[in-house]
Amino acid sequence: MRRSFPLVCMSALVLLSCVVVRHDEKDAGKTKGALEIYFADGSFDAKAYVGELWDARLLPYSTEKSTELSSLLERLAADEAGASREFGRRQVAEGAPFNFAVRGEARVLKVNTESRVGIAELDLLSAPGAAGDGKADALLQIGPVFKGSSIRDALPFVSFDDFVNQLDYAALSNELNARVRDGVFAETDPSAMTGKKLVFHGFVTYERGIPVVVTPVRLEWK
Amino acid sequence: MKLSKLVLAALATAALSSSLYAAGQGDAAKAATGKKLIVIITPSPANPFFKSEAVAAEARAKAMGYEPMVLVHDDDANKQNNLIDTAIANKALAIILDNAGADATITAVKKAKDAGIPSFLIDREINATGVAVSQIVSNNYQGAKLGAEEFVKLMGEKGDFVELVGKESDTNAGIRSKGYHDVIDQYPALKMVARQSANWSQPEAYSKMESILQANPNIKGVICGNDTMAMGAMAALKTAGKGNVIVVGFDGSNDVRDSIKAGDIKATVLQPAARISEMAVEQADTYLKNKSTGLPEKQLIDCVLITAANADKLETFALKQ
Repeated sequence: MRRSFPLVCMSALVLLSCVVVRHDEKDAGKTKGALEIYFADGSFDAKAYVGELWDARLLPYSTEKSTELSSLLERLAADEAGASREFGRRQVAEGAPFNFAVRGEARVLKVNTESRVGIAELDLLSAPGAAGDGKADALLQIGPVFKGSSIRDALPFVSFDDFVNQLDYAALSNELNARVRDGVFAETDPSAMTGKKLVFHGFVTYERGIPVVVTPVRLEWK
Repeated sequence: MKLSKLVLAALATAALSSSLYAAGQGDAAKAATGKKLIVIITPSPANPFFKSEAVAAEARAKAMGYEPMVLVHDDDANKQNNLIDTAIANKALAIILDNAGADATITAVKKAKDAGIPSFLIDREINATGVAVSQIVSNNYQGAKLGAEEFVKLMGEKGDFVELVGKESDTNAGIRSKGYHDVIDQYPALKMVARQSANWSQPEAYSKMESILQANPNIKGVICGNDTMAMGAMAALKTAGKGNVIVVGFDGSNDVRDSIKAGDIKATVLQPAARISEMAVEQADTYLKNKSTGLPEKQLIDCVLITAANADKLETFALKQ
């Protein structure tokens, strides 16, 4: 009887190693060169998630809670910590920049589409003491490649805790940016933007010394 | 004789526990046993990234009045399971863990939780919430996008390039590659001519790069899943007289920092390993005192792009302010 104890241990070990073997087999079954990440099970449907979020929660939040951009920039310049606490949001307690829901009225000074990360330079029309002075106060992402995660990171009803892992959380941000590309800019011709006036609603990530880049969720051309 | 020895021992014990109290680390019940153990478990310190992680956690734990015990699981889930048993048997107050698998780790951490030991995960996450107290996750995806965006810029948005991928069984190899491709694939003029795994290894990256170059002598850039592979690729390129090929890495090691300063490798992405470890120990301390960290369980820590502009400030996986 006593001898059965190590035997039980042995079979436990065998069972444990079985798990490892199964995992290796799963890896071996991968298509050569194909990208497969074993903890991304594909169960998260970012498109459906954003589809629900966009009209029902994101746009109302942007309308009701956004801060006028030029006054926000002024507040941030005067008291970054205070203004960040009051208007901004970030996921962690330290080491990450704050994100803000913003709105404003601007004239497009110049459009750069040489890079696929297309950028329009904005002269904010309500900039205190510098309204419509012909100088760029902020930048607007116009695609077709959109960078950053300002939209996701500014929304108070989206938390990393609600997602299985960083890939699902990233998929959400990518889908939000795709919605900007395919929705907000569906009908916009970059070559016709220069000189035009617009009202924008969007999101920014603020880092001192770097011009803010607006990722828009709603544009009205005047 | 016997009596004086006993008195001495009693004095020593008293001195020890009073010093523990003096450090201001509450939890009287555990402190009364004279041991305030925090178990730190990481992958092999042969990789300077994990070494820096373990060293930072150990130092912070000591500074906060705990007794750190540093263990290594070598990315082996079975070994990790045994180390968790060791932590339970030694009645650790908390476990700081850079885990050996997003799924395999869930049961191990749950076992510790059932034994009353809270776990604080660093660097990599697990596919479950409510098991660990904190998951302070290095945002590899965001870091990969930063690296890829810089790579695209350096390439002028066009040209032939090679990707060297990490160990395929490692979650982060996949995440980084996905981040790279989610950016790069949006530029139709960038063409990937080869994609191979060099298993995080410098010599393997060297030999893979050598043979890739024979078939593709005119490549313009190489994007690598980590810094050791970037070092290997850069060395092979220089040997072949192609030191001007754009190489980008990931991790923020001192080796790549020096290469960037010498004008060879062009960029890398820093994962703030040391700070993540310190945060985990600080959150463990707060949790042991207050039964809560006051923070969400899952916390993504962003990576930082390192180029010639800020390489000077990089030292052992931390940016000097």
